[in-house]
Order: sequence, then structure tokens, then C-alpha cells
Amino acid sequence: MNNFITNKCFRPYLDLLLKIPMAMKITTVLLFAFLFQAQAEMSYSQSAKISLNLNGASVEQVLNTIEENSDFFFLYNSKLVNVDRKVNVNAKDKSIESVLKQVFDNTNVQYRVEDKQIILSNKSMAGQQQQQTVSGVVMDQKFNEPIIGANVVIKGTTNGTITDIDGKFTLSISSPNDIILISYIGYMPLEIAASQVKGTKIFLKEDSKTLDEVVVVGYGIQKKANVTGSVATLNAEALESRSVSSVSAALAGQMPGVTTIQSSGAPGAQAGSITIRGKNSINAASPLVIVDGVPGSMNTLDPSDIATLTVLKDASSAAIYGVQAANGVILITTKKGKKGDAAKINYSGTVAWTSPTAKLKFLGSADYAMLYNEAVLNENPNAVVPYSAEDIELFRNGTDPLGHPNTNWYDETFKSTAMEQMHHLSLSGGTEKTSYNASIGYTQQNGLVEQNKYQRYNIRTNIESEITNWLSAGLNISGYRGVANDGYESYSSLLQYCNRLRPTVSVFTEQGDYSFVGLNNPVAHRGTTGFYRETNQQLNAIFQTTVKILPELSVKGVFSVRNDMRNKDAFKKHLTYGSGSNIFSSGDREGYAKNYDWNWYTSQVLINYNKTFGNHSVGLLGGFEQVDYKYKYLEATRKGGGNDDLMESLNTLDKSSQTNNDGGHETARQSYFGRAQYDFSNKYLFEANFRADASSRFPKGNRWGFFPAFSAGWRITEENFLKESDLTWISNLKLRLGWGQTGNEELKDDDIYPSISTYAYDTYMFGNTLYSTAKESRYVNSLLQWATVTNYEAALEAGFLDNKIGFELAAYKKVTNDMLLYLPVQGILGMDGPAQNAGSVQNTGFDLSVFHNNRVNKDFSYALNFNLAYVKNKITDMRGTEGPNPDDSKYWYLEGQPIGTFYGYEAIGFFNTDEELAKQAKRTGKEKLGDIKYADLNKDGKIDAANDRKVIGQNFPSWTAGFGANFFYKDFDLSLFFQGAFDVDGYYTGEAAYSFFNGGKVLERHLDRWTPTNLDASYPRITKDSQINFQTSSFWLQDASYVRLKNVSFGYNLPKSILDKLNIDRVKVFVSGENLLTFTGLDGIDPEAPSSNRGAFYSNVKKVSLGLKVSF
Amino acid sequence: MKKNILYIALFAVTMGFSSCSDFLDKYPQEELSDASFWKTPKDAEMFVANIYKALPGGDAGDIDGDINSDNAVHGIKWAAGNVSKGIYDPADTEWASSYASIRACNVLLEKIEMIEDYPVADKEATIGEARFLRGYVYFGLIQTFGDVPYIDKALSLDEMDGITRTPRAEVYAKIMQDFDFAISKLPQTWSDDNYGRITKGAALAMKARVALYYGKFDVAATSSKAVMDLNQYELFDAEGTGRYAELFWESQEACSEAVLVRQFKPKDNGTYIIGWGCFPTKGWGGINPTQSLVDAFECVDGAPISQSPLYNEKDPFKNRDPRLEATVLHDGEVMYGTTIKVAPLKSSGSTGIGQHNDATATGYYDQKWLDPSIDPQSDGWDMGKDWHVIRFAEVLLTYAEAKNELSPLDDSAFEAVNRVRKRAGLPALQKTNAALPTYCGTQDALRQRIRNEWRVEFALEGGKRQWDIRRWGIAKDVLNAPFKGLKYKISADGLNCTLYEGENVILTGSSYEDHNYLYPVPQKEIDLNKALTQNPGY
Repeated sequence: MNNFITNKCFRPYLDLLLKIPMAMKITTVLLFAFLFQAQAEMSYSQSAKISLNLNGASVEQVLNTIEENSDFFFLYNSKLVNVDRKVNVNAKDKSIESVLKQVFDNTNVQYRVEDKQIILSNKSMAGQQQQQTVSGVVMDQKFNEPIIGANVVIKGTTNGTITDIDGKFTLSISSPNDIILISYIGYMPLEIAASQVKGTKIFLKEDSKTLDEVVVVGYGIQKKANVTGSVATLNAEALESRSVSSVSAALAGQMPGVTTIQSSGAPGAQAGSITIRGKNSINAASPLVIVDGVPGSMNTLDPSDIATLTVLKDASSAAIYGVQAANGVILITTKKGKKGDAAKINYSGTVAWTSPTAKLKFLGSADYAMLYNEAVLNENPNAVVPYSAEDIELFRNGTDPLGHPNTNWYDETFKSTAMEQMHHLSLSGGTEKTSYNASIGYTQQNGLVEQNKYQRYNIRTNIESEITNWLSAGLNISGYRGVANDGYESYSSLLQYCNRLRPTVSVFTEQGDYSFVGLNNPVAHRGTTGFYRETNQQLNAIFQTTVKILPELSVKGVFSVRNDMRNKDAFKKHLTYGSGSNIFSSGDREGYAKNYDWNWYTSQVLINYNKTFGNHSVGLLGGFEQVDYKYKYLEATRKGGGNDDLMESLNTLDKSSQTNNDGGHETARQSYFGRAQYDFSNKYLFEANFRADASSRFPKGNRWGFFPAFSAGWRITEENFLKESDLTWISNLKLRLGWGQTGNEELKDDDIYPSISTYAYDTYMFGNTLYSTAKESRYVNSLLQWATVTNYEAALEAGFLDNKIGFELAAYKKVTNDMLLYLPVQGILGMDGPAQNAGSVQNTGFDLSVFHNNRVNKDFSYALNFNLAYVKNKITDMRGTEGPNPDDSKYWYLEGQPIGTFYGYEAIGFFNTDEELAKQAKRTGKEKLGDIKYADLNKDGKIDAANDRKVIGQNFPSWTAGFGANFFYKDFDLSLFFQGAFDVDGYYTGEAAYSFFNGGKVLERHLDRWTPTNLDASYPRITKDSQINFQTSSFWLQDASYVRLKNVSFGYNLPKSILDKLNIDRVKVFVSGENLLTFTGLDGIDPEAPSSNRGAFYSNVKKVSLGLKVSF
Repeated sequence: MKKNILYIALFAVTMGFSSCSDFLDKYPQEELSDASFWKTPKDAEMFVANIYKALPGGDAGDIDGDINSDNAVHGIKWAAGNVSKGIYDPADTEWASSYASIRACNVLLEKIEMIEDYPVADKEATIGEARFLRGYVYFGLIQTFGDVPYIDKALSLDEMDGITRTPRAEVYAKIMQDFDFAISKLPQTWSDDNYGRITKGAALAMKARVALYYGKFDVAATSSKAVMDLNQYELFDAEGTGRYAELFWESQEACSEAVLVRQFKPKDNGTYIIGWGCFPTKGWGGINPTQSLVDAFECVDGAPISQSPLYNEKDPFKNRDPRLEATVLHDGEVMYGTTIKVAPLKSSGSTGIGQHNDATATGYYDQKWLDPSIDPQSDGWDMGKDWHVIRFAEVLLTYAEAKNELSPLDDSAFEAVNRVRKRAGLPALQKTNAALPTYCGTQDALRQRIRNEWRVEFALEGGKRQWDIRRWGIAKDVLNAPFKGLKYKISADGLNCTLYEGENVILTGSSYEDHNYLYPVPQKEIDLNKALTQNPGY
């Protein structure tokens, strides 16, 4: 899965150098400084003279002093060479050899001077008397090139060295039977008998790494090779050249079975909604998001802070999260420092320009007037048409801009592009026992009007420390503050005004005032209505400590406190404009301040036991978790009085108007969970998970739920019959099977206490005063429980030719039973129906990912990845209560049909002739020529709602796909990423579909309307008041399938030759584009926009960005 | 140390186990539970007060009810209800909301017994309020649907299977029992801070309204007479000094004519009447009176326009029943600083006939409720005028109509209707001088005059007429007749328009067939309960 991302071996060669083992005190900078200078001067060691006078200094200080005062560089491994020893060195104009002799005489350190490079290694402890040396050259097998800086160690000792720039090493051995271990990041480690090392080339094989990769799973990590559940991962590299502000937006198309829809490009709202393997319930919510082990939020993380992201797709992997796991689980870990690593600063930043991917195309004044006249006549053939031919001509030729304007309201109101920027700065590193990583991020997004903008600051600190050899602890503190600004009347309102106001109105009247014609003038409302500001803030601290009781047994405690705050402030100015009798007035000033406060207290105790007995490995995990959640809010409003210049304080407004509100709720959950893993020879893998959850939301007797899961894997490639066969081109083959259950407690957001009968306060007015009233607020269902999702899965993973090419195919079936439904109840109950355990949903599908990585030569490599997912979603039981979704009657819940099914009449063209009109079935009997004709499904001669409607489409895609291609050539890289969704429909209404809707205007596509001479039209006869054609029907449904170039980026890493002079590790510059190309049949609406909208929606954006990454 | 940590960890786990039951018990912080409610009389009073929301004037859409009759059409096409378009859709309903109120009444009647130390009179008054409201809501149900399930307990989910419709006459009898209880137990007045609660007079008046609807003229006459005999109510401006319009302004709240009101107050609890009804640029222009309503107002001589010499069709607002100007806003009038121009020319701006969707469809706007002391826009359409649920004029007309049916041309019928006409500034109807246009020589002549009085007195006041035309059996005639707006004529060059000449605006109106006397039972209810039958014709 996502191999081009995780396969580090295909990064350019120089990237590998960045990852030289930690323990080494050589930095690549030094190494490369040497490389370049070595070419300039040839025999430095002979000519250089050293003067030194250090007493009681450590070896390290001596070496540093030499480095500072000469061009010499020392290469050594601090684990092998004791540099803390105190020495006295006195030298004047001495050769380097003589100085080194002083320092290392009578020690076990041996040195070798090769021009400016001085390699320190230790002599064999045992072999002082019978010392022998071996030497060799370590080479890359594929490209026959030396490997610089490889570790060469005698197995079981600390005696070792590293290879020089020619890949050469020399090592003291005590016996020819010594085993020499050669390792280097990105290559398979090699063990070789000392006797076989005879100055010859030793070849290391590249390690494609996918198998030894470790993945994050619930409450722990596992070797990917041994994972038996369905998990998908994404790591930091995948986000490297993306200018995305939220993680969810970056997930689109990356993983098969993970459907991400980013509906908006609005500042601060560029996030995606994520559905994993289809919707499990008609209340389907988002997956559970766990950040660094505790419940977190995904979209407010700075993507640059993310180290890995894992999606647990099936119950075998997710069941350990129990009742919250039905919609899948997303596990995020953030970047940490590495112990023993030198401090490092990373900067990354992008500057981007955005513009909408789609906007409605309205007609200009002349066409508007022409169609208006036609609509008037269509509705009343005897009417006087309001626009004369002369009017229309004046609109068309633009010679009378005041009397006959042609205003493009969108262009008048909005900028064409908006700017965004993101910056991220981190400091990371570690000492021997402690690692740290701290970062700060800044995101700024501007909108298409000045007052619409978003700013976010992120901070994060991760510290981990081994306090003793049996106790370690870590503290992870993160937070953000995001401020979204908009006008009191939002961007969407302005867009709504633009979509409504006709082009025949000018922005200004002849007197120079903003014109007002009963519909709001968006230009007049832009920046003048006051403000709306939403501030979101989070502080999250996670403390964890691990006690190692035995080498195999450890206990970990985690405590986290998370606080989220939201402030909403708004002030409505008094706006008035217009002239004559057409005056707009916004009425009284108004303001509100609303504060919301959420708190989570999470405690966990985890006990881990891992033991290997011969071929048997056992892993056990037991845990307890409890989450305490509290929510409070406070809202205050005032209205009237005030001053437009004082917008920040409610105190400026009329005190007598003030209102306040407060409230909140609490929930709690307690859980026990465990996992048992067993594998035999890494060949046969078994895993069992369980979780018991109790939620405060359910009635006391029904609180506990039990969620088990079992899975097994068979790594066929570990079998001898394959290992010993000729089928060496098969590098990985694994079969997985799994069964498990997860839960779902999705009640409506306000249904916090579904099991407690309550009376809510309300008000009525007596004596001109509000009087407190009470009402029965809940009908209690005492049998309520969670829904259970049962998951069946079978999967095959395969890799060929050293995992250069491979695939993973998983087929699954998920059955949701006892779905929490608000079943319609008879009106005579007199209450809204309670949630009831009823109904079933089924998802069946498969996920496929195919990858191919290839390193063609030293300079060029590429990685291709294709993923495809299919899901068939079906409601299998609605308890006989099929019917329209109460929130949007276009959608129906029907057995045998997916969630999000459009239900309506089937349009079969227009009434084209009087004969048709007379004979064919009609819905109202008031149809005219050019109106939409519907299929008479039951052939009873009339079109009625009860009998002539059917399923006409669905709003969730059955097929989703992603294709990524990454190319690396020398210092350049290019990546392309396409994403698509298929078999999905959109249903657009209002201004986005209908002519003259609600006093509105006309779209370009309305020109192709039905007329007696244009029977083959794409729009019915044009009308302005009649709503006869607006019934939900297939006519208005559009195919919302699409393919989009989600991202393309082109990067250039500055060559080391330049970096070394600047003393910088890495500089990458890149240019990147998001959503640059979209292939879709939709007109004026972005295919990821909500499937039912009127066009007054901040569309997704195209983004072109310039980025820079620097590390030093 | 190592051991200690282990103990701490084990302790934490054990704590988790032991504390779990309490930890998971969470209660709402904003709501009362059964354990804490139904303890004091105040609880019952709070509970019954919430049921008052069943009264009209709120969000129930009853403010613009006249668009379902021949009095008005909806100026905003998309907002027009189905009924005004002639569609009786089994999906549209107030069925469920009515039963929600009925449930609340039943809950109160059951739970009030849990309250100890409840003074008897207070308790009975509270029960009286609940029973009045239950009767009131059931009347809405039988008026709309005919037979409906009569539920007099708080149902549980498993009690609903197979419930059938109770015959309308039985429900009617139950309604009358509820009203009679309320009449006997409710006080004649409440303290000032309880103004707006149901009184004996209101219960009597409502009983009269229901009886009249079902042709029980004796009950209607007796009950309405009982209201009059309370000597508690009088028409506002009973002497007819020309202040009828003020009855709909905030200055005349809690006047002697108000028998039952639903109270509003800006900011706390505003009503939307003015926003809905007001003309475009100040409001939505939602309610547009028809020509037929305008023509229903007599001339000041007490004659219908067809018979009055005072009527000039080119200057139709001159010499008319003063209530016309108070009810209908027309071309040339100045309202809120705007001169209304309805000619369908560009110069009339956004108020022209059919100029765009928010303009008047008929050439007229609603003027009732347009309180000149309010700026509809800066006040955000939050108007404080109380909604008249029952005003005394209804009691008088109910009495007049019932009396004339029981005893044709009864003097008391003349007296009652003439009180309403006097306040309006119109000459009294009489049966003595055939030469005058106010002469009513036959029962039917008086009947037609009273019916017209109902129409003009209560025009645009929440949809009385849609029910009146049903009970009079004239719905088919008036709803199927063409709906018209004012006459206008455009000059040949298209630049000038003359109003009140030429042809009437023709509108798509409502329609009615005999079975539309009742509305269809919501299909959803029938789907959920096969024992419910549909009304004939649907």
C-alpha cells in the first residue's frame, strides 16, 4: 500500500546520506565538505602542520580543536571510540601523525590518515598479540558503486569502523572466524566471515523495506509483515509537496476504501469528510481519530507535524476501539526526535494562490431580458412584455450603461484569486537518553473577499526520556489557535446575492449611490455588514510513562487532558443604502458572543507482554481506558443602539435587549480491551482482539457491549517450498482472513441522555413577560443499545521482483445490525420517536492497490501507485419504515438501496405536441407544451407521488480511484496524483438549476430551452414563476463522476555542492498545484461540492503554490 | 520504586473497575427529570403554559391563512401553500403537531395527580386550561380531517397499533365536555401578570365557534350570548369614530375587545406578521388581497358596490367602508415613507404587478397589522402586536348568524351585527325601510349581509374565511371562480399605465371539489397504521 511513499530506497541517493546512523558524529556536511576539497588539494596530510597546547582536555575537544584549526576531519563511531578520555597534547608545527600518536598512544584506538580524512577505529580487544586486519570495499550491488559511511562491525563486539569515500574499510580482527556485520540504511544488512573478506568488493542489496516496515496499530505498533488486519498507512513524505492545511484534504484518493470528499475551499474549511468502506448507518459519522494514542482531531493538526497516519479499515484491526470503531479508526502519530541525534532545524513553507474550481455561469442582460420576455409570455400569452426590442439591443451593445447596464455581479463582488501561506518550523534532536521535537506552524488563508480569512497557529512539543533502564516517560503537548473571519453577512450570503441579482441592475444609481431594487446588492454588502469571527483553540497534554517489569513485560500509563474552546463573535452594523423609495436598511445593530468549551480526560493503563520461544512468538496486550467528557457553552446577545465603529464589545449595545444562554452536557465511557497475537516462524499468524465498552448514553442495564475480532495470516513466501523453489521472483505473498465486530453509538448530537425521561424549559408569554414553561422533552426507549457492525474480510498481499511490483487486494462484507434509527412513529404518539435499534445496512466491496517502484539507474527512479475501491452500500432492513429522509426529502431510505438514494419521478423528455399533452399521463393537469414529461410507472394514466416515483440516483460514489506517479531524476522530483469518483450523482436546485428562480436570473445553459422549434432542448420551456417542473425528478440529476488532477508538484533539491558552502543540510524548492484539472460533466458546480446545493457555496479551489524546505 | 509503580498501575486498574457504575451515571444539566418534576403546583402551571403554543399566531403558518381562500393570493410564489394552488396533498399536515399538544394535555391530566397540596380551585383551573386546549386542538383536527383518533391518555409506543378514527360526532361531544369543564372552572379574569391565560369568556366563545361550525345554532347562540352577558367585553371604538385600523396596532393591546390573545413582544418574542405581510422593500409582500375581497367592502351608504351610486370604478377607494383602507394597501398610498406604485412599469420599482416574485400579484397589499409606529426593517420585523385568537366582534357575529338561523330576522341578530357595523362606520342593517340599501327583508338577505360582514371584518386575519366558505357550502363557487387582481391598461407606446381600467389581472387561483371539504389524512400516518382510513376522494 502506498509504496511510492513509504519506500525510502527510491528517494534520491543524497537522501539516503541524510539518514546516516545516528550514533555517528559525522555529519554529511562535513563529509561532503571533504569530498569537494579533496579534489582541490591532494596531499594535505603531508604538508599540514599542527600546533596545539591542551592539558586535561577530552579527546573530543582535541579533535574539535584540530578540525577548527585545520582542514582535517575525523570519522569515527562514538560507541567504539572513547572520546571522553582526558589527555594532554602539546605540539608545535607537528605533523598530524605525531599529534595523533600523542593522543592515542597506548589506547585501543587505531587511526588511519587518508589525506584530510582521519578514520578512527578500535583495535580488537582480544587480539593485541595476534592482531590481523581485513579490508574490503562495500559496494551497492545494483549500480556497482561504493557505499560511503557503511557500518562495519565484528559481530558481538564493539570493534568496528565505517567505510570511507571509496567504500573502503580496514578492520582489526581477532580471528578469521570472526563474523563481520555490514549495515547501511536502505540496504539489507550482510553478515560475512572475516576469512572471506580479502580486500574484495562486498555487495549490499537494497532493502525495499516494505516488509520490515513497522505500522502503528491500536494501542501499539506491529511489523507490517505480521499484520493480519486491513490497515493502510501514509507517512510524512506523502504530504511533503502538498499545500494542504488539513490532513483530511491530503487523504483524498491515497488509500483504497478511504473515500475523502473535500467539499469546500473556503478559508479555514479546506477539510475533507472521510468515509471508510461505505456508510455503516444512516447516521454515519466520521471515523474515530486517535492522535498519539488518545482521541484527537484531525483537521486542526498541522500536516507538517504528522509522522505517520494509519487507517484501520476492518474490524480485525479496529475492534480494539470497540463501540467507537464502526466507521473505522484513523491513528495519527506526530513527529518525534531521535535519541542521540544532533539538534536540527527544519523549515518548510508554501505560498499559494487559490481560485474557485467552479462557478455558476449566468447570462448577461440582453439574454436575460430576452428570456424574461419569453418566460412572461410562456406563463401568460396575453401579458405585456417588460423589455422592448430596443431595450434588448441596448443591453446587448452596451451603449447605455446607466439605463441598460450589464452587470456581472460575481466579478464586481469577488477577487479572482486569493492568497494563502503556510510556514512550519521545527527543532528536533536528542541526547543519549532523551529525544525532543518542538514545532510551530502558521497557516494563513485569504478568501475571495477581504474580510473572509483564516489564520491558524499550531504548536507541538514531544519529549521522551529513558529515566532509568526500567522507567521511561514522555510528555506531548500540542495546541492550536485558529481564527476564521468573515463579514456578518458571510461569503456565502454575498454569493447568494450575486446568484440572485439580475444583470440589468447597475452597481450604482445615477446619483452614485449603491442601487437597491429589493434584492441585496452584494457590492454594497461587501465589507460593510460587520463581522463574524470564529476562534477555535485547543490545548492537549498527554503524559505517558512505561515501566519495564521484566524484559518481556511492561506497563504503560497514559493520561491526557484535552480542552477545546470555540468563541463565536459577531457584530451587525447598521447598513443603509439606495435612493428614492428603494432604500435598504439592515435594521438594528446586533452582536453576540458565544463561548463553547469541551473537555476530555482520558486515562489508559496498558500491559504488554511479548516473548519469543524458539519459533513461537507471543504478544499480549491488556488495557483499561476511561474517557470523561464535559461540554459547556455560554451565549450572550444584544441588539439595538451602539456605534458602527465600536464592534468589539457587546456593552456598546442596548443593555435592555440582552439575552444569555448557557448549558452543557457530560458523557463518559469505560472500556477494557485486550489483544493476543501468536505467530509461528513468522509464517502462520493469529490475532484475537476484544473490547468491552460501557457508555453513559445507554440505559443502565444495557451499558456493556463486547466486541471481539479474530484474524489469521499465512505468509506463503516464508514456506520452504516457495523459498527453495525457482519462484524467487515472488518476494512476498500473504493471505489474510478476518472476522470481527465493532460498535456504533451514533445518536443525534443532541440526544445525549436518550435513556432519561426529562422535561425541558421553554417560554411562553403572559402579561407581556416571558413566562417559563416546561415540556416533556424525550420519549425514552429503555431498550436502547448500540449498533453492531460485523465485518468479514479476505485479502491477498503480493510482491514480486524484490517487491518492485505488487498488489494488495482485500474483499470484505460489513453488516450493520441494530442500527440506531429514529423510526418514524405515528403522529398520535405526540412525541418525536426515540432512537430504536432497528434496521440493517450492508457494505460489500473490495479495495485494490497496485504498486510499481523502479530505480532505473543511479539518477532516475520512479514509483507508480494505483488504487481502486468499490463499495456497494445497501440498506437491508428499515423495519418497514422506508421513506424520505426527514431533513431532505430528495433522499429516501429504501430497503435494497444505498444510503443517499435520490428518489423521484423519471423524466422522459418534454411534452412536445398538443396530442402528447392531451393523451399522456400528467401530474397536475396544468402542464403546458415544453414541460417535463414523467414516466407513468404504474400505467394508470396519471402521475402521482405514490406510484410514479422511483430510485433515480445516489449521492455517494460506488467507485473511487487514485493514481499517483512519482519521478526522481538527480535532484529533481515530479509527482502527479489523480483522484476520481464514479457512479455518483448530484442534484442541484434553486439558482444552480432553475431559470429566474425566486426572482433570480438565468444560466447559460438555459439558452438551450424548449421552444416549439427546439424540441431537443436541455431545459424545459422557460418560466419565471411556475414551479411545475421543479419536482424531484431524474431531469435535474447530473452525473457527478469526476477525475481530477488532485496534485502535481515539481521539486528541486539544491545540490550538496552549494549546500555545503552554506552549511545547510537540505534545501528543496518546489512548485505545486492542487485541483488544477478536473474532468466532469457538471457545469458550474464542483463535483466534490455537496450533492444537493444551490450554488451559494464556497467552491473547492485550484491552488498553485511555491514551496521551500530547508533543514540545517 | 519499581514495585511501587506497579502497585500504582494496579491500583489505577482496580479503581477503574470499582468506580465504574457511578462514573457512568450522567444526568442532564438543563432539564428536569421525572424525579424532580410534578412536585409543586408551579410545575403544572409551567407545563400547561407550554401547551398554549397550540394557539395561532406563532410559526404555524396561520397568519397568512387567507391565501387558502378567495380573499388573497400569495405574493411569493415559492412560499404559496398547496391549498392556495388547489392541491390537497396527503403529505401536508398539522396532524402530528396537533397530537403533540394533545399528548401534553393528557400528560398534564395524568401527572397533575402526583402533586400534593394543590389548592382545589387552582388545580381545577389548570385542568380547565388543559382541557380547553385539548378541545381547541381537537376542533382543529375534526375541522380539517373529520373523523380522527380520539386519544385521551399519554400513549406509549406499544399502544398505538390498530388505533382507528373516532367518528367526528363523538369527538365533537368530547370537545364540548372539555369546554364545559373549562367554562365551569376557569376564572373570568386572571391577574395582570397572567394576562393571556384562558378565561371563562374565552372558553364560552370558543364553544360558540365550534358549535357554529357544525351548525349547532342553539349552542352557538347560547354560548355567545353568555359571553355578551359577562359584560366584560366591548368592541374597541364601539362608537365608530374611525379607529378600526388601530385595533391591529401595538397601541391597542389588551383592549376590551380581546377575548383571547397570544402575546408578543419585540425581541423577547416577536411575531413575523409584518415581515410576511408588508410590501417589498419593507417586507416580503406575501399576502396579496384579491379584487373579490376589495369588491366585498360596501360603500359608505351601506350598499354593495354593485348597487351604490357612490361607487366610481375609476376611483374605487373613494366612499367605501372605512375598513377597506385599513385592510388593503393600494396604489398611491404612502406607507412607511414609500409611495406605493403598482403599475407594471419599470418606474414602479419593485412593487409593480408581477414585476418580479416579491411584487404584488394582484395590485394590492395587506395593510392590516402595518403599525405606522414601527419601522418594519430596522425593527427586524419583530412586531409586538398580540395576535387575536378571539375578539369580541366574532362573538357578536356568531350570535347574529346563529340567531338569524334559529329565528329569521330576529331583532337581536340585527342588533349584534349592527354593533360591528357601527364601529366600522357603516349604517345599521334594518328590516323596516325597504327603500334604504341597508334593508334586509328576508332571512337570506340578512344571512348574506352577515356573511359579508364576517368576510370584511376579519379579512386577512388568519384564515377564517377558508372555513367559513366550507361551512356555508360556497367553497366550490368562490374557489373555482377566476381569481382576479385589479384592472389596468397599458398605453400603446408601453410607457404609461392606467389603473382601474382595462382588464383585470387574471391569477391562477385555488380550486375545490366537494371532497375537499375535508383534507386528506397524511399518507405517512396511514402507512404507519393500516387501521387508519383515508377520506373519500383522496
